[in-house]
Amino acid sequence: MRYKSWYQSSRITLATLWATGALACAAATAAAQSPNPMANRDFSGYNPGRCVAAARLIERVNRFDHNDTSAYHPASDTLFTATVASIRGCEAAYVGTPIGTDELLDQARVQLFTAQDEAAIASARQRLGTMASRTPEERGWELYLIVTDYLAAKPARIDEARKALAELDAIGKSVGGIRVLAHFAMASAAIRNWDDELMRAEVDALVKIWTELDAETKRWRYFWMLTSLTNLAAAEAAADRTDLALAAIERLLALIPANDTRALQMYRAIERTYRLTGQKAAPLEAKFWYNTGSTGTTRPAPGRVSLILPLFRPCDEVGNCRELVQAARRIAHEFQGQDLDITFRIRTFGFYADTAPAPPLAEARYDSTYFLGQLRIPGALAVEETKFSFKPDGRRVNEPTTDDLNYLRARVVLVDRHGVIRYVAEGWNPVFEDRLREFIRKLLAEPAGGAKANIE
Amino acid sequence: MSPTRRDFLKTISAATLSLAGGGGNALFGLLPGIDLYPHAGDPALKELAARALDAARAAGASYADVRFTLTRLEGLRIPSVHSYQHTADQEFAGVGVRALVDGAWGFASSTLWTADEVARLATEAAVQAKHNAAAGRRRVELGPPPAPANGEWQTPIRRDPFTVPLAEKIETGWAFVELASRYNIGARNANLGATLDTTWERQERTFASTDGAFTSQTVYRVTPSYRLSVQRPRGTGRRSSDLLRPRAGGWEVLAEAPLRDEVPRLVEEAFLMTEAERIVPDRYDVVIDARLMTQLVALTIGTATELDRILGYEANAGGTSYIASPIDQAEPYAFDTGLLNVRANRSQPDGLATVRWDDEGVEPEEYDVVRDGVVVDYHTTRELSTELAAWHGRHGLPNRSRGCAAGEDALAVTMLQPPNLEMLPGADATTFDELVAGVKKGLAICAGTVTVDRQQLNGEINGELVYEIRDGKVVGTVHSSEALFRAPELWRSLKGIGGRGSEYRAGITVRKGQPEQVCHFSVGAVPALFEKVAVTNKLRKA
Amino acid sequence: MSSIFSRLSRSTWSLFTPDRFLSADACQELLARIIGMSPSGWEISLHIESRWSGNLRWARNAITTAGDTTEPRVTITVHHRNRSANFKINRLDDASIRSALAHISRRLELQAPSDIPFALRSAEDYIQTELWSDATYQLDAAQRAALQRQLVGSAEAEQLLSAGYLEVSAIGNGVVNSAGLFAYLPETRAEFSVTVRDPSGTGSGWAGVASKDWRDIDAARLSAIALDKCKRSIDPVAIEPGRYTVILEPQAVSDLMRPLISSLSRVPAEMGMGPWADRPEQTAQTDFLPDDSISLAATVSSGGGGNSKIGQLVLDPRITISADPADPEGPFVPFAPDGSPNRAVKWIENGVLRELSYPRSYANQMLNKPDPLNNSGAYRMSGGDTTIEEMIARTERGLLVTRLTNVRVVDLNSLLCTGTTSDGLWLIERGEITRPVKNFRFRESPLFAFNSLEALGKPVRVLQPMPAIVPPAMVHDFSMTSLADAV
Repeated sequence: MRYKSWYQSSRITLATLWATGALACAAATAAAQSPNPMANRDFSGYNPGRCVAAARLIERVNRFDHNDTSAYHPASDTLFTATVASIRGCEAAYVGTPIGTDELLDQARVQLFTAQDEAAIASARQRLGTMASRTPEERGWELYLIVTDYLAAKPARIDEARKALAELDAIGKSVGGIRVLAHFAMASAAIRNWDDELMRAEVDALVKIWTELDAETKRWRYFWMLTSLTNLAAAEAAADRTDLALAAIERLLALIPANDTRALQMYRAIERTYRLTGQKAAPLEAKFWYNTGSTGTTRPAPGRVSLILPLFRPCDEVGNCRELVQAARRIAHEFQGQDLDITFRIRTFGFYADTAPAPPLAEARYDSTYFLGQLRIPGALAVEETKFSFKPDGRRVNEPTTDDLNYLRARVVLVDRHGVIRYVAEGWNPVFEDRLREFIRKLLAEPAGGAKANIE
Repeated sequence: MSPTRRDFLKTISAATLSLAGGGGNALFGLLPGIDLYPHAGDPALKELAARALDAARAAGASYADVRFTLTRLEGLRIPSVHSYQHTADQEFAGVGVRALVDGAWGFASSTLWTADEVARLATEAAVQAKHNAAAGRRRVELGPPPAPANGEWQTPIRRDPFTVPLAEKIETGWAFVELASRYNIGARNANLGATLDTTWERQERTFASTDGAFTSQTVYRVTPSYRLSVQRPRGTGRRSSDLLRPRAGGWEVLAEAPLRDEVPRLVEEAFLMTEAERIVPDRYDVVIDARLMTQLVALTIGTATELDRILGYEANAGGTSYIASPIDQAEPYAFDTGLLNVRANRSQPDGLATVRWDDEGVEPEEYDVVRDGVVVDYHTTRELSTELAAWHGRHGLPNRSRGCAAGEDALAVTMLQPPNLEMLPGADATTFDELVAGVKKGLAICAGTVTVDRQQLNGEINGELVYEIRDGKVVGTVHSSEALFRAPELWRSLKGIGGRGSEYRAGITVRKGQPEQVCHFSVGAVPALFEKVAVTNKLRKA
Repeated sequence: MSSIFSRLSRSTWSLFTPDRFLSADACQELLARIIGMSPSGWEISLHIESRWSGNLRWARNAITTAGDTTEPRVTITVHHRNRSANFKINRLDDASIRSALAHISRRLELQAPSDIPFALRSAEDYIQTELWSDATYQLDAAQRAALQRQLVGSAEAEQLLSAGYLEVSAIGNGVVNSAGLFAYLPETRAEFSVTVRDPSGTGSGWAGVASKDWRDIDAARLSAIALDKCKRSIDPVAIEPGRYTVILEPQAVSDLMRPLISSLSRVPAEMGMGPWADRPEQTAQTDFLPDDSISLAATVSSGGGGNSKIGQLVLDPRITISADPADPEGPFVPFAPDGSPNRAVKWIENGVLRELSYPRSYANQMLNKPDPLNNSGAYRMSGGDTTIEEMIARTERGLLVTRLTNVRVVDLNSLLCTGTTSDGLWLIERGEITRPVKNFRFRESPLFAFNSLEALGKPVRVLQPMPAIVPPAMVHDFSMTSLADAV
């Protein structure tokens, strides 16, 4: 990385000087003049804990400049290793610089980055030790930070986080609001780590704690309760347990107060979307088709497994569209030559910035060039025409397309050989890629012909 | 991205400035000549200055001065731990020549530092001055020239902010902003956020005059602000850092600020503001903290004692002053309180108006502005000082400019700008809390803004954090309060001030002049107690 | 046509004396130089505001300073790989440009890319307008000084003190970019204001105006008005605060309108903030996900999903507030720094809110439009036929206000403002001006005031940073909250 090399070189230079004592001599003289011998140098005021702020910037630069192959070597570097190397350099430059007690958790985060787990645990313990005389609620907040820091580490330190979470739970009712946040983080980590038992246990714990909160805290943490159950449903559905997914949504609907009509509307629509599983999939209706190969434009095609995915414009550096396309490539590669069709759906917008309104054909041609030519999506491209009208104040309102009406909120759909919908999701979650691949394997193993759809 | 870009970057970072090739045409902006823009202290500037002054003299000027400025400004906003944006990024140069012919001024400025251009500006300024002199209604007298000013000076800093890598600026900002989001609120239902806004400025100034002055100065200013918000079910409270405030200085102002120690207090105070009750309009005894006092002193005393404003030279622009002209008054203006003592300086190390020499080559000294509540002196430039000759003589004061001549940069004409001010602490070691303890029924107003009218006379005080005091104790906070005042009555009601150790100094920005100029100066003040101040609800109409 | 002609004549003139501001050719050459110094792949846009101005300032009847400044201000904006950064300079030599490009390059390195599609504008569909006046451009220092001598004569004769400011300026406005856009329009502006005070310090009168053409400014008449107001405002008496019928002279109307004009923004309104938000509960469209042919982050630019008050009656039906770069009395530059056009727009028509400004991303995503709707700050407010004299005659008890100063917003949702009256405030009783009164502090909102409208007069140009053509207005129940007896 350009950034890494500059960072590393300046950090290592300082670290070397420090080690050889050259700087120490300068420091000794300088100390006589000013209390901070590092004051005039780059990054003065840094300590090992401060490197966590640096980590954010390094990660960000690495993420967005991955194209710069002159500084990042795909053979040996991953974004993560490049980042870690930079953090190590930063840490090494400041080892020995005093750190305040309220910076100990920052130091722990850096140590988790650089895989010094014992040191990280010790830093966190040390911090908790300094809080012995504080209120239980304040210790609870600190434990929440520790739990989320362990879970945000790469890889997540689930076991250590569970220990800290247990300590937090032990404090009891007064920290209910904080416990909801912590259990939410744990449930999300469980999903990412495919630990379904933990996931369910965490969501159960969260919902139980939430229902026992006082009125104000209940409202304050409402969103987390709703989202935990929504995420649970999505994870169950991805593992072919739609019945459990629906159960989660039912639970959620039962917890929404009657006067929150917006939430009720939204989640009932989500419920209806999940109930599409088990029903016959309606044919996709697009105005333009590209790269349909031998399967043609009838999708889902009878006798074949169909994966339907969304596309966005633009689809490169931000959002998870690029990750979606990369995952699709991996899936296409794994199931090459088998009876899997991948179909990408996109709608026209009807208008291009800086030019006159674009006719649907022009947009479709652009999309095919961009997605098939540049991005090389591994599947067919279905371009649906968006019809829209205008509100009195000029804002456009898109009409739902036929596919919207048929598939409701589902953007990711998996259809089996019999044309029955087996999986729906509102968006692409990279975490579910492997579950989805398992699902596809299963569907491909099912025999074609004979069995009828279960219409609920 | 590609080797091309890397090569380009290498070239840029190693670039030495190269002279323009020969040729080029005479159209504006493409003049051949100096491509290498010198920095303050460069002998090339001395030559240019000499050229300008010679041209002015040749065109008939009895006095002339020339300024060169190079101003680099960068502004960075950090609204969250994941983002940042530049609010400003610029570098502006200027050269300006003032010429005095037959007692009238002329001024011309541009951005081109070439021999021909400075000569043109000087001639233009002199020609203008002649036209202006034709009316003959006023004769500018500069008085005896100051001792020739020669030398270099720089704001004492530890690290030039413009040598700090952008990455470090961003990381420092993110570390500060994260202090809010990870702050330990215990089990309270709240979302905390913070925004850090910082502007760094470095201005290199070169001044030369026909009095033989040649000075090179570099001023560093930093304007940071850290605004914290606490969002709760009942509402949002906001508080800004007292530590991070505008002052002269370098990178260390931001990097070494012990913000970590201050954030807990700011958070708790923001929490208190979410529980505020609506103000009940009444007369209250009011304790104003030192930070807000700096604005009160700046606007009711600092600008009100600018002699040009008093005499009516700003009447069409910034306004006038409620303090009468000393020239026609027998008695000096008195605030009717022995507690008010204000001194002016341009030497405070972190003062925004601090320089070694002003923009007339005068070396400013400290002076009393208000002593025991009586206005004893005024801010002057050379020509304004001559207007006060008789008055200075009567009061045993040296009749020379107090060194307040300044222009925002070389493109703007030199005028009178406020110096730094210090409101002197009281003799006892009274603290803010002790002032509060002495109040039976009142308010304590911390931070916020003071606005005044065109005569600096009537104003409003809007506090950021306003406590209600009962029987010497803080019993809660109030919102929507606006304290109304009339300067003489307010100062007359001054009943107590903080002592040593309670001082706070911050930078102030005001605008004056036509065309408008920005003035930066610092004010140091102590907390103060005022009796029976009218406090209204700012949202209430008549 | 005339602007092309004056462009030609200026470039010929420049062979003999350096031009006071950058010509069209110079702008083109500048872009070529900068492109030449930049790496390929950079899309470059320049915003040029190359300015000359000459001024004269006087006080106490005597000239105090005069000045002449030339400054070419250039903002270099670079777009590259969905990132952008800019830098401003005012010197155009190679070293300064290279330094600016280096700063930009360092900033681009660290930036995260934006997901909102961007393309440099190349279309030049701008409104034709004429902003130039030779008379303004040629008002040199000698003429200015001579003028001043005439203007203060009458004040001097009456032992009053005149302070004033006269400024003429010319700006070469240009937007040029590497996609081929070339927009250039030179502009002149003349400004004149004068304050006359009496030596006892109890009276003060003010008058002022701006225009592109110096010949539109009747400096003698304005000086006479200020003088007259000063004499008639000496020794004011204090009267009770309260709600008054006020007759606001055009300058005062524009002082009160300024916060309103700068609040005309669509996105905050649709997010439920500010005076133009329609705050009842919005209905969510929940059966179908929001249109996801654009990425999620981009939808942030599509507004808050709520409604603004567009279409609703917000002010008195007699009021129309519009802006037009080709307005003969208040023309302004027809393009913005990013090259987007400043269109003719009716913000409020017959009291109904019709438009609010919006950025480019909102225009693209929500309105099917290529360009933002810019609010330049210039505006014209419709008027009526009632003269100020007629308004006075109709007033049983009220106040005549010259102008409002230090106006600041106290509550954004209602646009409640505070500030003070100044430079002439008179009591009107039974249809006549009876005596001068001490200035007041007011707390009023332009939204309330212009819903309590009695009458409007003929719109005239006033003195504000951007062109404003504004009528006098008679308004009832204007809230003067306390005495602010400054002069």
